Amino acid sequence: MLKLEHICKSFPGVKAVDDVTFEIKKGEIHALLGHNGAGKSTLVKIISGAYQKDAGTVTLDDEVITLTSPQHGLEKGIGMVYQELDLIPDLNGSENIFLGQRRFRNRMGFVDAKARDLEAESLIRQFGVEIDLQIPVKKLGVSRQQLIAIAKAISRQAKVVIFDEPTAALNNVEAERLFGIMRKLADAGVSLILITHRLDEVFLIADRVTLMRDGKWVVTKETGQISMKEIVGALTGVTEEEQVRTANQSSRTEEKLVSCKNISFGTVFQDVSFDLYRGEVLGITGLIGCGATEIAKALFGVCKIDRGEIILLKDKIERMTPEAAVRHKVAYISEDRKIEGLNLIGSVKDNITLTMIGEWAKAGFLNRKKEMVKAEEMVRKLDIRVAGLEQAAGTLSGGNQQKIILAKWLLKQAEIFILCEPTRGIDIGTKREIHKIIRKLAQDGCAVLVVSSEVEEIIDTCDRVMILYDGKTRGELSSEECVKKRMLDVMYGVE
Amino acid sequence: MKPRNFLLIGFIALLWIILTVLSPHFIKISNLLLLLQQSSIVMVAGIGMTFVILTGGIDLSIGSVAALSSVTLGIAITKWEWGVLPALLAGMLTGAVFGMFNGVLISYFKLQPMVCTLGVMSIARGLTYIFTSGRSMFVTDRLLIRIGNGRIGGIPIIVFIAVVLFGIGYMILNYTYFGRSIYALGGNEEATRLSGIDTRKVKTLTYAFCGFCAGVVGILYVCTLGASEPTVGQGLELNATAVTAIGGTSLLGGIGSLVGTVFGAVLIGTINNGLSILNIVSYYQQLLLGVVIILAVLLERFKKK
Repeated sequence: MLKLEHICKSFPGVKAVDDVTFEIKKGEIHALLGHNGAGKSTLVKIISGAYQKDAGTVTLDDEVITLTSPQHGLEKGIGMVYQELDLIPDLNGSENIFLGQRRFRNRMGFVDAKARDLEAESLIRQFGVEIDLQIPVKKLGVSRQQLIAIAKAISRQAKVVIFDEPTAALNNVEAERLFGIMRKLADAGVSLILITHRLDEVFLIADRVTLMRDGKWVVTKETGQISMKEIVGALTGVTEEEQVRTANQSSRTEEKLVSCKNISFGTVFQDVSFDLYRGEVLGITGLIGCGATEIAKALFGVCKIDRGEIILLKDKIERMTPEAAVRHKVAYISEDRKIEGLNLIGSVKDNITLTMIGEWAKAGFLNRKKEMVKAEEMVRKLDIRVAGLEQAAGTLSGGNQQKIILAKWLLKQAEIFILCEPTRGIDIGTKREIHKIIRKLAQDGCAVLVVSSEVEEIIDTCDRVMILYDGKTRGELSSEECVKKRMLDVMYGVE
Repeated sequence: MKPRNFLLIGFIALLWIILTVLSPHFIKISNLLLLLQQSSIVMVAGIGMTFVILTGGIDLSIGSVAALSSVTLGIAITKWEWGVLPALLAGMLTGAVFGMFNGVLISYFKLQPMVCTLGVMSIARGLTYIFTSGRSMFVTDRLLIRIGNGRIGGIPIIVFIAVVLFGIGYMILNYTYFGRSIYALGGNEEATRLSGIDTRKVKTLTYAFCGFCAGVVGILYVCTLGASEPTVGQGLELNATAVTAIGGTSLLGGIGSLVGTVFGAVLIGTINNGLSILNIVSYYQQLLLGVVIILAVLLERFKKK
């Protein structure tokens, strides 16, 4: 009923969707799966009209459609429920549902609010939930807001509704209710496209599933005819137990430098416990939104925790702040170099020495000679490619910027290094160098925590890895067990 | 020295040549000293403003705070009959305390600098009128008059004061931990904080220093006028911002120098002095000042391209 044929879409430098062909039947729930960057978001945005395709045809009920906007999509009967819910917070439910539609406008150009409210109520009633449609939607809970977004998507006799990660912000009860509503819609003849990372949901509710990888269509199957393991294999392109880890010489000692006990923050991460020893590299990984980054930030006091305790160098820290973390020899290398890492307009020297100028200063006066010497020393040691120490940090490549951030913590003689996505956006050569630096840190007696969503990076650098799923610890693999396939299975919740 | 400053020197030199051609009086030593004397007040205000702007903030209250400092000095001497030195101290302290007040609100209570200092601007001006009932007072202390109009070795004392303050400011910005922290947090406040520097303290002290400079300006007003006037300092914040911007300090923070600010002040002093020597009505000064500000910023743009 919705036919996609040879759909292509490119962005500068990347082919996001590459010759995708498949069909969605009337009244089915069709799951669309893919690893990060597989092109599924781009594809559904083409279907809904938010993006225009470069090539290919979309056929809806035997009519070839070329959508120009999401509004146009709605008119044709294609609605989308965005993950971040495209509602106007200060408008009420009824106003949000019919936003941009003209059918309740009378001859004078005024809105017939009464008729609109009646229609809105009848839409919501079929969900079997009471929602006050007269108050601003920002006063409603997330799950109720989502129902309003769904009502909006089906308000024009929808034939196709796309759900993007609809359960991300819902608890179990709410998610179950949502599935009930989705099933009801399907039974009424609406076709549903479900984008999700969570394979358990797919098997719970989807009739068929389509897998995408690197912008290309891989397979479309009935849910009953495919296993979780097959799906993970197809999504990631890793089929056998390949690439055994490069045997890192572990230099782990028995001295505990960090100990986290049952730390939680809302539903972002829950009851996470781990120890980090001197001389080891511990990896934390998981799918996007699994909570790994937030745990790293909590260790440095950038994010809060509401339960649990963090012990650094045997001190129990009651309220973690960046200052307290630095005092306890913690270094934090953010995933966002430009915001949390560097003063881009400052010089290479000033950036490298930033953590130490206070200690070197005498009576408030800088020790400028020592700064030059030490900065020079770090530039040589880490092989940072700069024109001079006075060059602005913002003019360097990503890899060299990352080395500058490492240099400033090395100077500080930090003992606990927390690195988030340490090689994101960095070329392959520099990436290897940074991985070597990470190994060297552990050998020199530091404790290193690497948060990364890249499986290869974890395998290359870590002694053991903790895998999170949905904010909870899903498994811990030792260095011998760190095989790509196995890790991906745990990441996707198969094991 | 930065290329930007050579550009400014070139611009000033060009103006001086033009003015010399137009009027034989301009290039006389006595006139040039007068020019420096006239530039001193905005220079002192500009030094404080440069500190604040380097952090990425702004202080709109300096004109009012200067006025409040000058009436504090006036009241201390005429009404409370304090000695000159304690009275001077009270004047400067008033400025520093108000600057600190700005700093605490901005860094600990996260107010936006523009809104916060706008409020304090009105508060300080209000207090000034309340304390004086809007009237000015003659301050006939010998020492103060001498500071305002006297010379040492032919050079106006006010110029010395401005130079000393510049020296202190330059030293802080280039040779101290405090100064380096100002540049760092102006460049990236979050990264600086995460590197273990107490950015809130640094910011508070920066505003306190700016307030202190405003206090000095207030005292200089009393010294040059021989009276404390509640209406002085109006528009000072704009002139101070102008000389800072002309001097090449980025209003986004993190980039700039005090040397540039000094040249900015001399440039504006030259325009004002030149126009009065050429007997051009002072209304044109405003117009020309605006043109120069825009020209200076435009030049920067073209240079970058």
